[in-house]
Amino acid sequence: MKVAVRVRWRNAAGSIAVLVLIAVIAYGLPAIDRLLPAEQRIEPGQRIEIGYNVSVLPPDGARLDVAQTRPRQGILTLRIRDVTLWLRASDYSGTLGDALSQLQEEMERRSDVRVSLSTDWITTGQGIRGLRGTYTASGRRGHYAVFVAYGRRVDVLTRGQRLNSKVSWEDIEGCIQSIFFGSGM
Amino acid sequence: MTVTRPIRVRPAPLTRNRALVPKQPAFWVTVGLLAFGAWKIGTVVISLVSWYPGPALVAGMLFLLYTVPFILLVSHVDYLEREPFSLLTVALLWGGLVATSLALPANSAGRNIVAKLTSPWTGDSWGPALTAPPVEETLKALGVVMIVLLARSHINSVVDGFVYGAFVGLGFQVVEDFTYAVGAVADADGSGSGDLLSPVFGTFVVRGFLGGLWTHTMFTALAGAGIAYAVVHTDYSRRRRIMVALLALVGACAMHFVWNAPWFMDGFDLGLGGLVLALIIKGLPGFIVVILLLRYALEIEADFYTPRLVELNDPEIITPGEAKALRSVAGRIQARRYARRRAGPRAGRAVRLLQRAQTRLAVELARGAHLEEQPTVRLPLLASVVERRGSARERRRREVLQARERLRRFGITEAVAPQSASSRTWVGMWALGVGLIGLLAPGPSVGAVGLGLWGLYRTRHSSEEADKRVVDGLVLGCLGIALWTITFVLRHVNG
Repeated sequence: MKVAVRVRWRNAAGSIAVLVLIAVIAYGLPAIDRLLPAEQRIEPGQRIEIGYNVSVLPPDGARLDVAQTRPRQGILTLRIRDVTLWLRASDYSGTLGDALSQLQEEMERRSDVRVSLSTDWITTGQGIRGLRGTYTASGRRGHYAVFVAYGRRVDVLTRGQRLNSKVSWEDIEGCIQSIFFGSGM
Repeated sequence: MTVTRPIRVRPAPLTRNRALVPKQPAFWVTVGLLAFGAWKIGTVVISLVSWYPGPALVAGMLFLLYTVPFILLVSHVDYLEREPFSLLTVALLWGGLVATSLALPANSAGRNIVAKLTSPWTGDSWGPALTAPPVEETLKALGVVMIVLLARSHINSVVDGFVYGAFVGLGFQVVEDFTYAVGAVADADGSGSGDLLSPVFGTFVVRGFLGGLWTHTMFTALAGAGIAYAVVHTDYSRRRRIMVALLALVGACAMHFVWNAPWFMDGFDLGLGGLVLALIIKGLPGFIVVILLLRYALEIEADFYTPRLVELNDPEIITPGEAKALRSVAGRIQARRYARRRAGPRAGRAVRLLQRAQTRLAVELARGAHLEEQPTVRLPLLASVVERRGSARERRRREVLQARERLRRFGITEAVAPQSASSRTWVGMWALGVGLIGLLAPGPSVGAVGLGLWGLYRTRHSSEEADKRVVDGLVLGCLGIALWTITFVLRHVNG
C-alpha cells in the first residue's frame, strides 16, 4: 500500500515537472520576448529593404518593428509615432485591379474592418502608379495602397491610426512614394 | 556465485496490466494537455479550412494517408515486443496536438528574441534554426516522458523509446505539414495564382516525401531512444543515464538545427533538382546515424528475446537458423520471400505466422522470468499470477506448434533463407566509421572506399567470412563522394 502511494506521489511529481517545463517554454519565452523592446532606431536617410528587391525610405523618426518584420516573406513593419506602416512585397503575375481586389478581400476576411471601395491613384518617385483607399474599424481609420510592377507587387497598410491621430496621410504618403522596385531579383 | 548480467532490455511486466490507468496523476495531466492542444489546433485548422476548404481538405487527406506507410514501417521495427495501441495513440496525439500548439507561441517568441538581439534579417534567416530545435524537440521529448509516467512498465528497451518518439514526431510532422500546405495555398492566392492545389501537392512532395524520412519522426525517435535508455539501463548510475538522455536530445536538436539552417536554401540555383539535393545533403547523414543506432538497439533487443526460445532446445519451437532469421527485419523478410518462392504466397504467410507465434512465445517466456529467479518475490500473492503466466506460455507454445505444422504442409521444415554467414572485422568497423564521417565532411569518404575495397580484397583472398560492414562502409563512401562532388560542382558552376 505504501509502495502504491509512493509511486503515485512520484508520478505526480514527474507530471508537475513536465508541466513546469512546458510553462517555461510556452509562456517563459513569450514573456522574455515582451520584455525586450521591439522597435529599433532607423538612421535618417537609410533605405530599408522590404524583400523581393523592393525598398523604401522611412520618414525621419520612424522606427523598425523587428518582431513584425519578416524579410524572407517580404514583410516590413515601421512605426511612425502612433501609426504602424505595414509593407509586403511578393512575386505577382496579375493586374493592378486584381491585386487591389485581393487586398480588399484579405482585409475584410481577416478583421472587422470596413473597406472603402473608392480609390485614388498614387505614383511613386520611380513613376510606378498604384491605387490607394481608406478603411475604418472601431474608432480607428487607416489607409491601404497597392502597386504592381516588374512581376512583383507591394501591399501597404496603415494600422492603429486613431481618428484624431497627429499622423496625417501626407506624413506617410512621402514614405509610400519612396517605394523603389529594384531590377531583377 | 551469482553472475550479474548488464540490463539492456527490461522484460515485460509479470501481469498484463492496462497501459492507461486513470488513478495515475499523469493520466489526467495528459488528458488535460491533449484537450488544450485539441482546442488550440482545432481553432487553427477550422480557420484554415474556412478560408480554403477544398485545398485544406485535400491537404488533410494527403497527410493522413501519409501516416499509413510510416505506421506500417514502425510496426515492422517494433516487431518483437509490441507496444499497446492506446499508448501509441497518445504519443501520436501528443505530437499532433500538444507539442504543436505549445510550439507555436514559443517559436514565434524565440524568433522575435533572435531578431531583437540581432536584426530582423538574422532573426528571419537563423531564428528557425536557433529557436525551433530546442523548443520543439523538448516539447516532443516530453511526450515520451509522459508515456514513461503513464506506463513505465511498457518501456522495456531502447527500441520502445524509438517507437514512441517516432509516433510523437509523426503526429507533429503531419499537423505542421498540413499548416505549411495551407499556408502555401494562401501565398499562391496572394500572388494571384488561380491554381490553389499545386501548392498542396508541392508541399506534400517536398516536406512529405523528400524531407519526411529525416525530419520530426527521426529527431524525436532519437530523443525517445535516449529517454528509454535512461529508464531501462537501471544498472548504470542515474547521472550516466540522464547524460545519455540529454545527449540524445542534443543530437535531435543538432539534426533539427542542420535541417532548419539557411544553408543551400537557393538549391544551388538549379530549381527543384537543386532543392532535392540540398534536402538530401542536410538530412541524409543524420538519418544514417539514427538508422545505425536503431539497428544496434534492435540487435540488443533480439539478443534478449530469441535466446529464450533457443534455451528450450526444441527444434519444433525454433531452430538455430530460425532464431538467427528472427533477430532482424531483413532475416524475417528473407525467410518469408524464400518460402514464397519455393511454395507460393500461402507458404510465405505460413512463415509469417510462425515468426509471429515464436515472437509471442519469446516475450511470454521473458515476461516475469527475472522475478521468478528472485526468491524475494515468491509471495503467495504472486503465485497465482505466475501460474496464470504458465498457462499463457503453454498456449503460446501450442500456437508455435500449430504454425509449424501448417508450414510443414508446404514441404518446408525450417523458416530460413539460405545465406552466407557474416563475421566482424576491424576493417569493416573502420570502413563504416570513416564512411559515416565522410557524409558530414568532405574527404574521409575516399578513405572509406579504400578501406571497403581492401576489406573485400582480404575476404576474397582469405578463409575469412564476409563482413557486412565492409560493404556498408563502401556504399557510404561512394555516397559521400557522390554528394560532395555534386555539391562542389554545383557551387563551382553557380559561382
